[in-house]
Amino acid sequence: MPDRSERELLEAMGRGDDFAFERIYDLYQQRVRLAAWSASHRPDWVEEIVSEAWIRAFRQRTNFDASRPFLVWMTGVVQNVYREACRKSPTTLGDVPMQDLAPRGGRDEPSPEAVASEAELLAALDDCVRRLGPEQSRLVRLRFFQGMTLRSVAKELNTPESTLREIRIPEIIGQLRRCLASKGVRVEDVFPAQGGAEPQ
Amino acid sequence: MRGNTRDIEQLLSRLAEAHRDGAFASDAVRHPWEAVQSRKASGGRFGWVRVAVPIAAAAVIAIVFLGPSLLGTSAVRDMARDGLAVIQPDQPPTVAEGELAVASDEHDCDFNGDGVVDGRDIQAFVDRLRVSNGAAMEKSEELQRCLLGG
Repeated sequence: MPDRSERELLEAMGRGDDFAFERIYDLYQQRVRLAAWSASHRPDWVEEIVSEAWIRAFRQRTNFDASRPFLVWMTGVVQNVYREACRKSPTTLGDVPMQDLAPRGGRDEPSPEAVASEAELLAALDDCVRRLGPEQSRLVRLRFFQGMTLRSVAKELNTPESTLREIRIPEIIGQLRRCLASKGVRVEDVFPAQGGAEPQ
Repeated sequence: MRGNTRDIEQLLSRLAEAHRDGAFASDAVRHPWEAVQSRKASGGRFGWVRVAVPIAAAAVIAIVFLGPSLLGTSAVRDMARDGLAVIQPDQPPTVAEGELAVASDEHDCDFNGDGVVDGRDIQAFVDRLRVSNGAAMEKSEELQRCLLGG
């Protein structure tokens, strides 16, 4: 739910206030990028999809219902842009060539709510990772961002593998979970089937 | 506690993928709708005419009223004293009559001689007016007609 000032901004935007629209852009542009990336799975398309989506949103800003989540509305616009690009352009999206295109539009396309939830969660998680201490941050970078095996990470950090597995990583996971909870983001919204699942 | 670690680990992997794909980096134009609006406002291909013509008109007016005092010859000082007299078409030329030979041709607005009549001719036009003594308004109207395709 948007806080009071954000809600006021959204209402002002709906009345055609350009300054409010700019503020909303500043607040949401990263999450909208993530939604475009998530919806299209085409990194080379993201820039154009996002630009076009913001242009359309600007044109339609007075039609926005401020009682609804803005990111879901924006994700719907993003998905429309992506779908139209797949239909209209067999070879390019703007200047971007399409390689081995497999349009995802159709019955298996996730809902705007699902895409928006993932974008929300990733943006929040990114912020939480940035708040980790330097040692924890290094561990996350090596293990998850660089995809190193636990054994390699243990060697790199000169720490027993079991310590990483049993203590350090669960500590970090717990910290990230608390951080996400403090932001009001629920992991279960994105991974409902895995809620409570114990890793093997 | 190890419960629910897998979902966060999966999310971290997804976050890493987003970073690798550049989903966090943006070299996009800030406020993309503004670019579209300014393109519309400028009127597309001939939008420069809307900017160039008022600038040319302002330059002509500046030269008509300020030019004489800047040039500093006795003849132009007389013109400055007479004010609007410089725009009288029957005013006899006092300086650099030959300089406007090209510009005085009917509808020849290629003031810089590059074979094309466009915004770049404005500067050449203004340069010529600096050394001319009259018919400034007439010439500016002629240039305006050329630029607007009249």
